[in-house]
Amino acid sequence: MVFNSLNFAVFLLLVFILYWFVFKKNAKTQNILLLVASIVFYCMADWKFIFLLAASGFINFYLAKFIAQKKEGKIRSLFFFSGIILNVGLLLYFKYFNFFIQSFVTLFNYSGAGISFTPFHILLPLGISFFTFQMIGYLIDVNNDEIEPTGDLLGFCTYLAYFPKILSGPIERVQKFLPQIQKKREFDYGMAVDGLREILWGLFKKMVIADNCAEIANTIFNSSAESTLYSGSTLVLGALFYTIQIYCDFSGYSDMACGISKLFNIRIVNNFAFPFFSTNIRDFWKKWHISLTSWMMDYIFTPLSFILRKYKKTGLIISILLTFLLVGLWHGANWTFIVFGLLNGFYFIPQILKGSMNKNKIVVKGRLTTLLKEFFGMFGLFILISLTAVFFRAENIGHATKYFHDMLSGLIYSWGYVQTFNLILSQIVLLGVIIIFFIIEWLGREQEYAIAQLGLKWKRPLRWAMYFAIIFAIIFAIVILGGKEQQFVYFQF
Amino acid sequence: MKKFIKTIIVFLLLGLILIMPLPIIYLVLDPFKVIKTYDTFYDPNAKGWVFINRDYISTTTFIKNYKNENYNSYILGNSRSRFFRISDWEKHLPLNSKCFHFDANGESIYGLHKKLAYIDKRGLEIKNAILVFDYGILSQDKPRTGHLTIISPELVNNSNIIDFHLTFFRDFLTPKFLYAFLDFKISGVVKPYMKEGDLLINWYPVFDPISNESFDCYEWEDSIRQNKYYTPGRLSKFYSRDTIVKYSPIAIKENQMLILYGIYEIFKKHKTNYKIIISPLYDQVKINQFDLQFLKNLFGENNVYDYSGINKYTKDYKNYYEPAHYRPHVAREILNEVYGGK
Repeated sequence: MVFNSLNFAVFLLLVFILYWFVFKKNAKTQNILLLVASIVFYCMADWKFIFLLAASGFINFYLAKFIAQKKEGKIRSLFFFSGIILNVGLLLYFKYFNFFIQSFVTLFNYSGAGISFTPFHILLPLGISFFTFQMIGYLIDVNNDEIEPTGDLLGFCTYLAYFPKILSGPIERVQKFLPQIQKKREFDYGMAVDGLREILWGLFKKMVIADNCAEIANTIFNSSAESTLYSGSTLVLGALFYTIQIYCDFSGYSDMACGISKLFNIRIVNNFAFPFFSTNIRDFWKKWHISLTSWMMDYIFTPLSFILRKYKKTGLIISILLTFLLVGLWHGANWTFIVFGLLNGFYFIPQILKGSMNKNKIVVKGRLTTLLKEFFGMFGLFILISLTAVFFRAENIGHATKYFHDMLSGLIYSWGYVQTFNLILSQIVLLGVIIIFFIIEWLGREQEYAIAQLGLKWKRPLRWAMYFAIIFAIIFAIVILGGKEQQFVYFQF
Repeated sequence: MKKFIKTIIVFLLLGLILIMPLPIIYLVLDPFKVIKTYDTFYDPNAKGWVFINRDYISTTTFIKNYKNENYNSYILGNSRSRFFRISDWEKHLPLNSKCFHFDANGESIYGLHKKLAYIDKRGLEIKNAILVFDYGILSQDKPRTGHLTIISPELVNNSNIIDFHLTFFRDFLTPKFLYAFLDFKISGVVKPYMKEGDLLINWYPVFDPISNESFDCYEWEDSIRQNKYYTPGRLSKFYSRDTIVKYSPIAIKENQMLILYGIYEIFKKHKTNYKIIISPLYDQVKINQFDLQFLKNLFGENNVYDYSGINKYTKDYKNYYEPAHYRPHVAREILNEVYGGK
């Protein structure tokens, strides 16, 4: 059940009514409803792993309590490390087992070992990368005495399984989430309307931009694996469209998740902050998949760079490369993701060498237009990110290298993909929509999401006309641009 | 909360009011003739017509008549099969044969199999059959999309009924169609831009209400007889062709094989006298030899006739109305050859 489906709309309406009319008595009843709704939601997506999710919740809840009870010593470490091993083990087994074995077998076979390996049929539990990271973060924070373990099992399970974020994040911190649900929530008109507006914008990003970009990107990427049908310019186009697709797909999903949560008067972390308006890679990653990046910074990069601090810039480079190696690996069990992560890590090296890693640079703060230098900075960064996106999208390293090879060796300036007038027309329309979309994003770049403040001071008819325009754009995008509903990219992680 | 609910209701109502005219226009005017039932799909008195899904016409006509007519002989294929005239075929069939032309635009072997299965399920006999194949039909193992080619719900146990109607409504909403349709409704004239992509047509599609045979070509044949048909505009569409023999890619893969086995099983059950004809197409691309051999192995060497590639039919452009469709005399000659030179 995806957010942009009719089934989910009915489900959400039902939960909303029950939440504010039937279960509104106190925080406990509200949390019971949210937990039950979350279990139903998870089961409807994939019921097979609901017990795994429940077990993860119970075990981590009690482990954290045991860790906190033992002030110091080996037993505390034992509980802590067993918790970490358990969570990492879960992830390794379900997500990486086949990949690691296969990689080792390939490595051994290079030396002529001649080992064969048939991958195990292991199903990937939905949202595992998100909920295990939440649990690991929770155990680390409790072990570091940064937070007290919660004694509220119901609240903790609600935090773990909360349906707006269970499938694709954000990776929420317990200390930000739990206090909100431990008190009775009153209906907040402003928050609910804001939530609906955010859902609308998320839907627009997903269904108008992402799904239609996916049509083009999929066609180009799928055929690029086996044929040299497309020219270099078309392959460049494919990479650019794919970059826009993953941004709008995932940030659209995150907007919808935040908006849905606001309907229940619960705020969850904003996962994107207009990353394409960054002029350097550090700034980009501070704004892209924020909950993952901040998790990696807090639990991987900071401890690592502390350990390696005596090696100065070399230590910093090693820390960033290892962190981004894990960022890449987090996305999936494929060498393409590892290369994707490492490439992004390498992009940091000039900044580290220049010593500008910790310098905050706010682009075009308060101004409407950008300076030429800043514009080229943003554009250049977008191109660099698009190049890494090829690895992100490719089926394997061979596919990615072939893609780059064809991109550079073919006729760079020729129309390979655009064959018919209708296709040209639909691409021009899509390009126009993308330009309008980025203008709106630019105007709203200092807000939580692009249309958060747009039109709030306008008279109601005008404001509503804008909302209807977005709704009609969503409806008509499917018709005019012929975009078909696509699975959310981040569901696979 | 009251304020929120009130705002939402007003917003939704307003949205509904804004969006309702389009579904109402669609339901009332029924441009694709798929909402209401009709005695005739194309009004002879009109000056122009919305092109209607041929699969839907064929299926509706069949359902309407099969109980009274007791069809037992069928011509199946895409628009190219239309030029196999029933009158030409009947000469080669037993006297008690009752023919029905069960064609569809952009037909696929998926659709073709569904049609035969539908006939079979209704308990009708399939004594004789002609399957008119080409690469396009053979390679299509899945239902087609789009309002001109989507399969009729009755043929697939109504499993696609929502998708079927949504397809028509969605295509109705495309600005290109909507603008052309409303312009036609107001002006009453089919303008050149409306004909692009077969949205609207200004030639009257005539077909027999019982046998579903199309008579579109009569007017064109008259025009050819009067040397008026092959105008410079039409001739320009006949591109020059290579003299080297070219083969189409392999069309019959795993799915196609399963479907073809299904077709064969139906024929076997009915002891059908069937003939498979590979169309002589203007492009002169020969069907892949793997596909041909597979068809011959499955359906029998003597039941498969390949007219693709360079041959006496494909050499002369005058055997075609345009590069996609050959003329009835070609189909007639093929029938004579197939049924033993009668």
